[in-house]
Amino acid sequence: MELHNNSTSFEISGASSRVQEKWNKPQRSRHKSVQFEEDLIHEEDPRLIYINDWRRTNDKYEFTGNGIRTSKYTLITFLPKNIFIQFHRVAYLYFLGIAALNQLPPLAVFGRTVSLFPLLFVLCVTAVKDGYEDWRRHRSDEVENNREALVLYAGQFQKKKWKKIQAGEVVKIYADETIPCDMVLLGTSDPSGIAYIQTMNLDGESNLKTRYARQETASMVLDVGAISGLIKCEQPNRNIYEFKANMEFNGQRFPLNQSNIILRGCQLKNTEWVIGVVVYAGQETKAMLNSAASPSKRSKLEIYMNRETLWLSFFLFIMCLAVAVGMGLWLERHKNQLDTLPYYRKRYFTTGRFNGKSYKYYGIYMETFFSFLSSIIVFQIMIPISLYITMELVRLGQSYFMIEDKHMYDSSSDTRFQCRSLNINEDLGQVRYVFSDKTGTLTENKMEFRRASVYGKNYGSFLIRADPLEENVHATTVEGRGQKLKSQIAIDNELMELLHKDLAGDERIAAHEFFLTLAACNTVIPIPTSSASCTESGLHEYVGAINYQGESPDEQALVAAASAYGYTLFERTSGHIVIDVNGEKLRLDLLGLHEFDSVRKRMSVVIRFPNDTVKVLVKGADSSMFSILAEDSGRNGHVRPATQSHLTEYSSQGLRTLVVAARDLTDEELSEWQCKYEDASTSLTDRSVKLRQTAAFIECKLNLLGATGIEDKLQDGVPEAIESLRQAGIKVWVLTGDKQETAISIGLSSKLLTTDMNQIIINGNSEDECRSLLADAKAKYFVKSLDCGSKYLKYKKDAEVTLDNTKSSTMPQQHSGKEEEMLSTSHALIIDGNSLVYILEKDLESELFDLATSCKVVLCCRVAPLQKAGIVDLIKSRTDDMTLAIGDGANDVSMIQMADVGVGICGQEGRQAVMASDFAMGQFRFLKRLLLVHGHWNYQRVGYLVLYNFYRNAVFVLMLFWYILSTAFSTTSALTDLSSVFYSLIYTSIPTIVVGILDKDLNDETLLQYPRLYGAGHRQESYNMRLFWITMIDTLWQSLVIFYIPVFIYSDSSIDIWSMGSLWTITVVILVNVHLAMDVQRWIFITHVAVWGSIIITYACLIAVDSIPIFPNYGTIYHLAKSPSYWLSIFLILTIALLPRFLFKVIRQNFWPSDIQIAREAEILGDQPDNLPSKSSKGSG
Amino acid sequence: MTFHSRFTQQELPACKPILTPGWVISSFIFVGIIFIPIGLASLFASERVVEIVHRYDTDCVPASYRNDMLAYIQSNETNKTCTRTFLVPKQMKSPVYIYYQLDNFYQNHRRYVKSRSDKQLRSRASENDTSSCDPEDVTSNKSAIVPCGLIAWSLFNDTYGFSVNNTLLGVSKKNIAWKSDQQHKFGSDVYPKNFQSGGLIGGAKLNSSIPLSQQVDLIVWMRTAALPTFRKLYGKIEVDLEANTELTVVIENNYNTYSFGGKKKLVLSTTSWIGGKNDFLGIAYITLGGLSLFLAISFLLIYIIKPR
Repeated sequence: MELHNNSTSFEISGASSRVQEKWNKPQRSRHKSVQFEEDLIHEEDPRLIYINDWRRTNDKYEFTGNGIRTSKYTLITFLPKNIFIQFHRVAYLYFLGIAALNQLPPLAVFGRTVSLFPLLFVLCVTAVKDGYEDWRRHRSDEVENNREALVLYAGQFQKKKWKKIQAGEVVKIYADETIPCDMVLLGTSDPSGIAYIQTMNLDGESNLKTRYARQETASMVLDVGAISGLIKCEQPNRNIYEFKANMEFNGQRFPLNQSNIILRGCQLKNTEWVIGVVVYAGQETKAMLNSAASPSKRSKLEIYMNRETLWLSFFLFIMCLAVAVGMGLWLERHKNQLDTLPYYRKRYFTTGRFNGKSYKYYGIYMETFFSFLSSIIVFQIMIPISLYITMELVRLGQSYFMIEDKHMYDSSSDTRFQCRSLNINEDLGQVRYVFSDKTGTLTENKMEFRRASVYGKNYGSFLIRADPLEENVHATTVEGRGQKLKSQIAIDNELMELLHKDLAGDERIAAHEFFLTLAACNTVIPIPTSSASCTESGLHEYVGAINYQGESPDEQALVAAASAYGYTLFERTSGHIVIDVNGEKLRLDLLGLHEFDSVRKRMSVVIRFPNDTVKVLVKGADSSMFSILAEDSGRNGHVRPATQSHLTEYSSQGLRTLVVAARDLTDEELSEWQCKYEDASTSLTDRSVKLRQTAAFIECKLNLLGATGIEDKLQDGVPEAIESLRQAGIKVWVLTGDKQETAISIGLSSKLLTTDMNQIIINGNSEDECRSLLADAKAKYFVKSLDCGSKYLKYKKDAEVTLDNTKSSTMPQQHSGKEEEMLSTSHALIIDGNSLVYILEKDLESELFDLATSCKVVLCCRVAPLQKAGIVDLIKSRTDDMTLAIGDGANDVSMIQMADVGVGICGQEGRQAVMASDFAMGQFRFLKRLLLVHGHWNYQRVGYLVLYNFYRNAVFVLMLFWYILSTAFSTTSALTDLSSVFYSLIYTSIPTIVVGILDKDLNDETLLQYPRLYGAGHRQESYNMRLFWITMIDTLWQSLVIFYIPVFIYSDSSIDIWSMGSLWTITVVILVNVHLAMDVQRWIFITHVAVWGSIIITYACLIAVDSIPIFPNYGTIYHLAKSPSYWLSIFLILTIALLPRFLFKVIRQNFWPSDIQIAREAEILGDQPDNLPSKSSKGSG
Repeated sequence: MTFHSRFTQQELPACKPILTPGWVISSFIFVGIIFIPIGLASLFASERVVEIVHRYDTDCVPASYRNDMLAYIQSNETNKTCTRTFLVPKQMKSPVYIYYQLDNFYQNHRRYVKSRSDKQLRSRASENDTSSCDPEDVTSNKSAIVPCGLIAWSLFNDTYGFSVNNTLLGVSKKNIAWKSDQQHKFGSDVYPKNFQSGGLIGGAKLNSSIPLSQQVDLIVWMRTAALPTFRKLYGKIEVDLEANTELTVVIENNYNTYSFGGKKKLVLSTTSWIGGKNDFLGIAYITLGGLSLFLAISFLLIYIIKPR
């Protein structure tokens, strides 16, 4: 079957994006309901579904209908609700507070309507955006709700709209249709009750999953009208991987699990039709309940920025206080004159009602207080609220360029870079620690069967270097996983020969069982691609004709390998397996299956052979298998040590190993097990624990058959990427579930570990052991760092001792042994999950932290998902350094959410990691470009953006402040109200956004060539306290210049307040734009348009406002423009204000240039710096 | 590569400026070369302006009232006329502008600036639009004051008469207000009404038969000053004043600045292309130009002595 044809994939992507959209929009109310219902499960309050009787089903409880609503608003609720939600932001409350203050009569600084402008502007823009998004959700809801499905009504299937479907109803779905709600399968077109579904929309996995209708119901579906029964299931919850229920049907009672349920949003594939009963509908479906977003993160720079905003608030407070105190003192000094003072006139002098009363005067203290409040209104933009909006826009623009970057486009999987979080772009430029998953992240997670050890004999040893095969990989991977496996199994002829011998002799039987196990002990589904080829009996035709779909790539590789050796898995139903053994069909009854779980680390099947013997076939991780093998008997006495040494060999080559074993079951064992199994699998509570106990009952005293070695290929460019990251000063830690040897070998092949590193290995089995290991390592390390070389040999010896007392397996120590090299040797810490349990839970954390941070590389093996998060937290909570976690599987989700930056790889293990991530991409190697290029750019841009915005607003406010000091502290603004409002809204906003998105200091080539340039982010070169204070001092100087130069020029002149205001307006706008222009590093025409356009727009606005006779400032600009001293003042102010900054910049760049500056000059002047960043290689002037 | 893809890959053709020593030195030299001549020109222009500043607020109060100047200015009985003479130091070419200068008068005070009604000033129809004019909005019988507000109420009312050798010099009030104000801002159909009729007289009275558009002193006064020390144009003398001429001024000293210790000055000044007498602009330009040249030379020396 061709899964990846164009038309379906187009459909899929369309549908998935819609669902994703829903997933992105969390709904608060739903969270609550989920929690509430989780409580219900604990109370064991099952949901009762009467099949084909929706009236009775809905009688007691009012279950949700199938209509969904992802939209937030209706036409009526839009305005109040949207405004209410918007005012949850502090920024808007600040705006509102200021606007409210301005409405008070004594404080009306600005015109009352004008003061509402900024708030209304922001509210409107956001409301339009929200409204548009909601309208789109309404439309998609509409489409979704009005789709039709066949519903059983009075014995016949009739079309019904989705939104009208209710729990308890029986629905029929045809192939390629989308499933409207969560349903328990009753029957399918397949007599054995199998259905295949694609869960792309739910978890992103493109392979088909099998779902079964219970045999009991599957046979009844032809007589649909007569179906009736009762399903007891758990209350709706979000877990898409679990479903617990049981069904009473025709007097029988049997369990249902997640393999019996099909979920909303999935598509039916490869199955003609299915019939199912609705259990969860609408908002209660698992797909809808899962539509919650990952917790939002805040960028570190923004946190620092908030710290500086506090400083700005402090300045604001000081200024307002100065004005208020000044006002108080001034009033006190003039209190006898106030009544008649022509420009104050405290009192009415008309005869009549008002005579003698005070006019807008409330006493000195109140006046002082009011003066404080009105200064807050005037100086409001000192707190750069607009910066938050600017930053959002800038990050949006930056994301656009990251998404569009063709160097981060993965052509093999057709995935572009995704920005799922818009808050932390600049964090990418400061990452210090990268925590990487191994499987699927560093490696491709495309498994290839490489080695086999059968009955103590090693096969496939020459294949490991089979280079012709390597070339095939690239040619075929593009076509999809199912196809790839067929063509790539290299066959060991010796093993093949063995299999063609008669079935006699221990070795031959072991080989037979070995491959039977590979073919049978899995959850892989064979799907014949065309029925015609099934009739042919040639081995190769089968291989070409069957597509294996499965959840685990390891299993697919094993099944494909078994097939290549003549054991072709041919058919799998819930009851039996058909295996084609060299042309003979072998039908095995499947009595039970214990799925793989992370506790047992193995899986087993119980099968009955045609000759009525019953066997249990087991495969699992070596650590979990050797302990349950039968005591060595004579028969396999040599097998065990031989296999173990083979395993060590495989591991050292970086292969993933599995141990295969089997045994016969006696009748008594079988019946006892069957009893337990039945009990466990029908149990509603603690099913997994009971199943595990049942499994343990038969998984014992096994006969060892052999072991397999599967190669997990490294992704393209991984070693290079890791090398670059390391040069950039980023520490790469690998956290993997694999065993130590595999992890180390992958570490070596990915250049993470080098042979000249000291490997410090921590794997203790108790707290004390871990403590002493840590202390030893630390002692050795610190001693060594004081006195290098001489202690090295001793250290090496100790390292070996460390190793020996922990594990039976021997570790190849990778030491160069050269004393002189030791001086620069770095350390690698290798620690396993067991030790981490003791270390992370106890007070040893800080010890580990000290040790780990002084090592260059840290490898953590056999770690559980939560431990991954624990390790990230170890660093995150103890340092200010930025952490990044990258992974592809569900087991990486916790780590991705914990880290400052979470990156998901769109890989083979589903989309959960991507859903939880902040950024997602197709390949690990893109991380290099993401951090070194985009991270660097974004950090530089946002850092500058923040400082510039602080400056831009502060210089304006300070200018107003100086003027207020010469107006008897009366908070007069020389600028017109409109100019004050437009200043940060229109006059100066666009250039900062454009520069924040488009400016770049260095080319990507340079940044990639010299990863050390990334250090600028680590050293916080673009944004730090020092820069903030320098900027503020510069701001102070510029504001003084801008205020006093016109005052000096126009002192003793007849200039009026509006002319002066107009001069100040235009000068401050030109000044901040030229200031920006001075710092722009890359001028493209858009930058020119934005910067110079802003000045032109300002002039246009001034001319427009001065052309309206109703304003007192009418005609000002026309009058001013005629006077030469106006123009001379502007030039004088610009030059004097910017001179110190320019001088500072020139001196700094020429005498103390930063690395970036050197690289930039080299890049532009075309020099090739040989030993950057040393000063000798500076570009010549 | 298409334009679109160059845009999305952030590789549009760009100019990337860097501060090479050559650039820095030439920009400093450029600034120096441009600024010094401008500075010299403005300084020269400023030097050519002849300005006479004469403070009269104290001198115009008779010695007997010096201790209680407020009583003098507020009394209706006292003689407010005051004659001053001074020499013209240099020839003053016509037109000679006459300004009055007030000190410590906060025309930019918020209470003051806001106390006006531009609608009322502009058209008769909005005569009652006095809401912003508190506390000089309406008379006690609720009739609107035109022009309303504190600014108009406090209109300056000293007058000056000039004579040379007992010949009166004509003071022209033509074009002392902005044309735009006269034509569009102050209505030709708006006549003063109820003005200065309240309990406290703030300043000048207006002839109620002349429309506001012709009340140039009011129009000048209503363009409120930016700073607490300001000059306002009073009129122009349309004849040249020769050097060493003895100029006699007859001042009607009516305006009360004594209550808040404000100074009053009479200013006669010629004009140039940079406006009145102001050395600051020229000096600043010359200094800045000089500094630039100095910096250019310093950098040049540094690069010669210690090249990078």
